[in-house]
Amino acid sequence: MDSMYEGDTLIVDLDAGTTDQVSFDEVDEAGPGLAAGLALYEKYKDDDPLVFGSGLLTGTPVPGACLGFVLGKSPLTGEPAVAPLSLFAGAEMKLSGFSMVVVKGSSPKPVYLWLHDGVPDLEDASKLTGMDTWETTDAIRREMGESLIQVICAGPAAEAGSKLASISINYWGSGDTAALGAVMGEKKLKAVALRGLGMLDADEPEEFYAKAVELLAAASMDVGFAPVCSALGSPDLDAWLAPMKHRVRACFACPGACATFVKYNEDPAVMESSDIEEPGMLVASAAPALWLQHGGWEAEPACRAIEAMAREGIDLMRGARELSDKPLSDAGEIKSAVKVLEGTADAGWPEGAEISGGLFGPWVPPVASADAWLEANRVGYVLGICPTFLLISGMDTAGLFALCAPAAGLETGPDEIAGMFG
Amino acid sequence: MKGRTRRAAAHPAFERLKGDFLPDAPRVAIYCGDGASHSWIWFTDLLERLELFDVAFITHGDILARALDEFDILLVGGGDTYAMAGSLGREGARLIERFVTEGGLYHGSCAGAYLVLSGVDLEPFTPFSLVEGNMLNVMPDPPEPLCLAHKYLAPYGDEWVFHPVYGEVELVRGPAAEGFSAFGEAGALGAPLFGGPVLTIEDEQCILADYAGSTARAAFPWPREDADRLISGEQAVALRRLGDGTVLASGPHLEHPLFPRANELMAEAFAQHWAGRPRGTSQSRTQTPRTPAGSAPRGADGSLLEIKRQVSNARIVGFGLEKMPVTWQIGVKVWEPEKIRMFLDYTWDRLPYLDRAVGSGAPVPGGALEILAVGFSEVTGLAKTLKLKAESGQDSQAEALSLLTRLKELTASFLSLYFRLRLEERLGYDRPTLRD
Amino acid sequence: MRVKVKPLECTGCALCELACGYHWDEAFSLISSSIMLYRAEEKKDYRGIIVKTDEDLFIGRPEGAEAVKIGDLQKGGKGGGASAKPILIREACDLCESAGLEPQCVAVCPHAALYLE
Repeated sequence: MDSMYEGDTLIVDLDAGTTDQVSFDEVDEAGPGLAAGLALYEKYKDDDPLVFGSGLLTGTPVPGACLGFVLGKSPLTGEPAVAPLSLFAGAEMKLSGFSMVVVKGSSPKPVYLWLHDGVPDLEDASKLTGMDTWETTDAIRREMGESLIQVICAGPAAEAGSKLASISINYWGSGDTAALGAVMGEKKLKAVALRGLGMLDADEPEEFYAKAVELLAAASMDVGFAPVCSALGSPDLDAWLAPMKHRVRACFACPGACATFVKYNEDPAVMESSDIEEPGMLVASAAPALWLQHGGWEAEPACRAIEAMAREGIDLMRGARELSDKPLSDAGEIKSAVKVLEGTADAGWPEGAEISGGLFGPWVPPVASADAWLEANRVGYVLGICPTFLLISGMDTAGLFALCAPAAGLETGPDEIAGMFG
Repeated sequence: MKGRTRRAAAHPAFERLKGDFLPDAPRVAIYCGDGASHSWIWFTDLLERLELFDVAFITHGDILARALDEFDILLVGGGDTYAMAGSLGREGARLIERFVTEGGLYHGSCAGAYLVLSGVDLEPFTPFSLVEGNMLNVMPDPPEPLCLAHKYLAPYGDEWVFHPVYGEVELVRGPAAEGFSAFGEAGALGAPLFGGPVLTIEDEQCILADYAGSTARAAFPWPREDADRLISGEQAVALRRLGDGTVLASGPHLEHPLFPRANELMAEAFAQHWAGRPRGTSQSRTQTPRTPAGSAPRGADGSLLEIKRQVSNARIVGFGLEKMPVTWQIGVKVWEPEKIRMFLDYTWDRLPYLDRAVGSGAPVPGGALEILAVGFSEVTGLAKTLKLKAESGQDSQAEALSLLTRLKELTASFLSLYFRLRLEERLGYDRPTLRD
Repeated sequence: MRVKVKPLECTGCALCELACGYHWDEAFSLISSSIMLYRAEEKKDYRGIIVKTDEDLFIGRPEGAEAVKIGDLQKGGKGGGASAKPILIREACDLCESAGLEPQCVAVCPHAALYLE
């Protein structure tokens, strides 16, 4: 069963500065997606691995099939934890030509990994050291000559060894609440850059495509930020951001479009590509904005704070929680406050039930029970479907499971997926 | 291989036609010298489909140095006919004619067809006259086009060669197509016309195919009914014997890899020529002694990875250029950014074969891979510079010319190596098959 | 009849590219479709959709949508050669006729950003 995964597993030895490719057997032995990732993590756990991968259906026109992941030992818990690769990063992970990537050890000098069409290159990152995530993304795209390269990067917070350091997808931060950014920092792995011009094949393409299109037709998720805000119990959050709202943006193959781009350096009604290179911020997750709103922040400074945290490579949710009771309005003060956050040692997870030993993060959104959230994450990370989309859209997972056979000859269901997690 | 190309390559006629070139296969030269743009690369798909691997890429300089003595078939594709004729000159024309009369086959598509029409008789074309015929798509003052203004015209003395339709046209059999099965039960086949001639051929026994009309899968610089009125019933492909050899002149690109029936037509004409050639006039390489398999030169793996790295990097930059509103005018031709990736894809798609060949000890000529690796690294650098200039709104013509020239050379070099390895595999070494 | 764009309805999900690419190549990719999501200005959130036909490009920019003739470089003048061939890589939109389907990009777009007219 390898048709939905086009390449080998890449083993990157940062100590030696070498790469090796081995056959991707875990998908048959353990299961696809995160199941394979966990098996690889276990296999290489003595080398402090970071595993990058994608789900079975990632990269296909299945609703929500955007999800990739980074898996590593969280410095906060000492246990394995995942961070989602959403937007276009998960799909590019699948298209990069490697099924899974294991990064082990630590580099003696700063490097970044450039994965392109099955070619693994370890590049010197000394010029990127000290750059924030925006500068890093721009620099790598400029060096390699392509704006569509997806850059999973660590910011200055990671380089400073902050326990708040999280990975960033391009400019926008991520859902990393396990400080995997700090792991990248420790490894002196500044970024993993991805680009692939390949194609994914299904075992039975006609049947797969027909079923995927049926699922798409049935999938519903109201456009935009608003339904997510409602699901989080804060329907007025959308209205709070409304004066700055430019457009909504979707992750790859997602009908949902729950990210909102806000402009505060330019009139949000400006539609053309103006001379303002950095007009605002993509608010890809409602939770950080929620924290700041509840803490009494005004909307524009809140978005500037989110931008500043994304630039530094700080966990947006935990960082927002730390900042929430100190509302600021001056842009300079906001940047300084965010910088100070990096030294915050005790910014643990919010109180609440830890689930799965913290594998999927500490926090269950109010939209779901802990069990439902756990199942959505398990199914999501194995099949490559955004768990938030699974929950909020109410998509019938039976339809998803029915895709696995024409995709890759895999018969599976909720029990099988639960079994993949032991 | 992309789905469309894969489906076209699976056309059943190719399996049958392969046998027509056994046991002695022709030696094929593809012209990629002055005036050849990029469509010469499509000949390689057809030759692969027919498993004709004795292939070389030659320039006008090679022809003038009498290289045609070593070949049985000469393929000339699209491009700038003026540049072709100008660089080949009278001596080139004489050598090509001698090549044909002594038993060779000349196939010209598009520019390669204009080149050899007797009726195209302004300088520098006058020495080239292999087909008694003329082009109809010429007039002193063509009407303004409805679309594709940049591809509509080419100067011809006081007149203009114009193109009323640009895309897929329908061909029907002519008197010379007796016994040809390419036209199928429908009696027609599709082929792409991209600026080639609408012919008028004097001797109707030399007409292999006529234009029946256009299809919906085309652009119409003229209103469709006017375009059809011009082309319907006129000649598309000429086939004539000349001395001991054969000339095939085609307005449409019969070699285009997405038109398998058009390929079949071309291949049947080749097979007919090959079957009827005087024996003993060719020296097929299948007769030459086989050299034993050696080991790949040291460092081959590293060079191959470097080639893969740089072709990938260049393709990625090329892809990024495709969404920019930029084109380059080089000579009389307009080049779009997609041409960059098109060239690179021909190398990229064949790298797995090279990988397997090197891995199983194929004798790769020393230094060949290193030279290619250095060359493609240059291409990546040129592509990045080009992109930076285009992004900042600067004139990038010079960079585009350097890049596209270099890409043409490198692609020809790579394909030479590729075909050599496939030929050597065909000649049979004791190692596992390298085929997909 | 052609595929047109309502640019501001587009959320940039790329489902249109996937469906179109599948129609041409029976595989999933973002490199061979007749419809292209332009997303190269990510920091500005500036994106649009381009639909390629034989004769022109329908360009749906956020500030407006229009059809632009391919290579409309030399208005009013004669010149430019025909020897530059159309590309192999991206086919022109055929409204999915060669697959015997309704236009798939329109069918899969979740937000009716694409329509036939």
